[in-house]
Amino acid sequence: MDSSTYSMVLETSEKLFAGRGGEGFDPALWSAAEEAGFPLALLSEEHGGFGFSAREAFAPVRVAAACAVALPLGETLLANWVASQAGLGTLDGPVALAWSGVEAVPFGRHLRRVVCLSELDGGVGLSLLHPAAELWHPGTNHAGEERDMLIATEPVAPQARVAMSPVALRAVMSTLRTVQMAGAIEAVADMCLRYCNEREQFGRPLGKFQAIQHQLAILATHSCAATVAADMAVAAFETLATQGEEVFIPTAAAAKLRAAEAATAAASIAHQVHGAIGFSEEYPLHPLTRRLWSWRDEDGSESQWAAYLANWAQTHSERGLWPALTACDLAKVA
Amino acid sequence: MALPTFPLETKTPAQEALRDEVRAFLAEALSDLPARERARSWTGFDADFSKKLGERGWLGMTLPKEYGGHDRSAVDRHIVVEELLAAGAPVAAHWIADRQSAPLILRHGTEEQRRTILPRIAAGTCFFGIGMSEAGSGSDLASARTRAERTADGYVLNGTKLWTTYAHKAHYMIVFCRTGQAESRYGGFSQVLVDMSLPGISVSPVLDIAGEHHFNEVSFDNVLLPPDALLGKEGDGWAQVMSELAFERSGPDRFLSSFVLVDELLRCLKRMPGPAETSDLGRMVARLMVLRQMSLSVAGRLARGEQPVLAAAIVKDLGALFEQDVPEIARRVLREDASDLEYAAVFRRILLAAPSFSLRGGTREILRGIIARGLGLR
Repeated sequence: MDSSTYSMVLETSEKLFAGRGGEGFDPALWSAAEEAGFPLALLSEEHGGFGFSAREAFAPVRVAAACAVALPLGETLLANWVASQAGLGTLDGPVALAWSGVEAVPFGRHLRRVVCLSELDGGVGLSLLHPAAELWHPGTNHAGEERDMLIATEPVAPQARVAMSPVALRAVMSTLRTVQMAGAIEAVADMCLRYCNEREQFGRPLGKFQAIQHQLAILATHSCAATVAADMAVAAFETLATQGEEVFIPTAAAAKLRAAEAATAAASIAHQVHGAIGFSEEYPLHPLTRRLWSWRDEDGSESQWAAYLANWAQTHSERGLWPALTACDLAKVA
Repeated sequence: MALPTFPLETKTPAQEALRDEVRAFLAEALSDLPARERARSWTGFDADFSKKLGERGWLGMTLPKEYGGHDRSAVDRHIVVEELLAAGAPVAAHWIADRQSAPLILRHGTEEQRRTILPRIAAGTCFFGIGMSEAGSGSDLASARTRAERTADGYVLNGTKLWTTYAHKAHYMIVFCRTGQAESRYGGFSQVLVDMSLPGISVSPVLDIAGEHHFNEVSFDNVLLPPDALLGKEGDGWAQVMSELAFERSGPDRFLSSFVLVDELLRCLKRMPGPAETSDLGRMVARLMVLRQMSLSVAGRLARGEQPVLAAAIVKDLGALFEQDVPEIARRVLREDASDLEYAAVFRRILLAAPSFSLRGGTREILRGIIARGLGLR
């Protein structure tokens, strides 16, 4: 059910992000998003948030992805959520979670701080870093979004710990990509439908050809599946405290995998039905498809999560797989 | 894009209790049924089993109590049905009656038809066949030629229906036929309720590619129908049959037909020596988990009185692809040395049934046409 808050957040996000897509970090847009309170939306009111539900808090992330906006919005949202779990207080400015080691950090050079994560006694250790600009080795993902490597500094001792398994936290981070993929796929589907209604060949709109109609129908099925996947992951995140990691991790893994499958199909169909124009730099399809190609393998590649879920299925099927699947059904948030 | 919404369902303690109850019953009732039989999914026929389900109140669940039903929600029914299918229960006897004939009769039938038939469906003792396709009329159902001619005493039915599953065991068939002159392509159709014991009906088997008999050809040769055989309104047949198809398309039977093979695959994987390349298995589980929630969501929308035709078509299209991919994934993941006789029998049954998954209840192409129409393209 869509609450009025949810609709309001969607509307505000759409106003803010529509037409603001771009290749790299946009400081002015970041300030506007901060003013709207989006980066802290997962926090309770006492921690400076709005006490939003997870679904409401992730809505701006989905809209931003649909608009191909380059902002560490979801990254900041999650970093603050983790920090508040660990009692580290509110972290303002763009901030992101990053596992210590070799992974690229989203928007690294633009971050005010990095919450560095490491495995610690079955949980996750946290340390706050303020890397100097020259310590970032710049890089990008397939879509030109900043993905920077932090040049190794002295190891930092964890300042705090969250009682959450490392894989659960990885699943939380992957949920951000799942939500982004769902948003971008829907935008891609929209763009394809509009284009096929307008573009004429052989004397009629492309959308009147049955071959094209079926491609768009397939795209629609994938878009719906990705949206449901994202909703599942976010809902399981919401019930993490009550239903636990045993429900959340397989749900988030499945959601990321399903959204990734949809991303691959959506990008492929979108470029096919758009023809050459969709392959040109000036046309706004590639900011979405290039993001989809990146996000499907960020925060756990498709093959990593596939291996995880296969292993989960094998170890949870003593009495068949079915009871393990239904055990992941979501209960209402208390 | 005008995509349908799939609001997520959340489980209630009562629903969990229902699921546990069904599961416990099935563990007992199916303990002797080997996997190769369970792999028949909803084409496994066992009239005694259907009666047992009726006794437990798990048939006609959404029907009102006054017609022998149980006033349960579409979500409760979804839970029972998916437990039955996941376990590979032999549900074919009551399947058509419970899934589509009963809701159709409830919606369009006369009070007399409801009172005489619905309680028997809910009891699991009255079985139905589908009377839609003909030799010359498959996806193009509006080309059907079977005809019921009105007479002073009722109707005279002539024509031949094809692909009617378990017509040889059915008590009734709901036959889609012409009753009038077609003023338009979809006009002049009606549905009639045909008692299969009437004279002039002949049922002949049509074997499937595995050599199994469930399909039939059903010929009606001057079959005299009483006037109250008419179901719904004369001339409304097209709209009625479309709503019947919506019931046929919306359930978990659209993605669980090959689930027994998933379990068999997992069983045999445990015995496979050495590491397996299982990422295909992981992707398969992911698709299944999301499909289940989509299907539950459709049930939730049905329970709220909505008619999620587009959403159901999307689930059925994705579901059939999934069901058909299961044997292909299984043969990529499992090496021969880990297979056994039971696995091989299950695999073959599902491999040979798989082509039908994207044909029955509306072909893949018809469904994609429905989705395209929903997107405003047609």
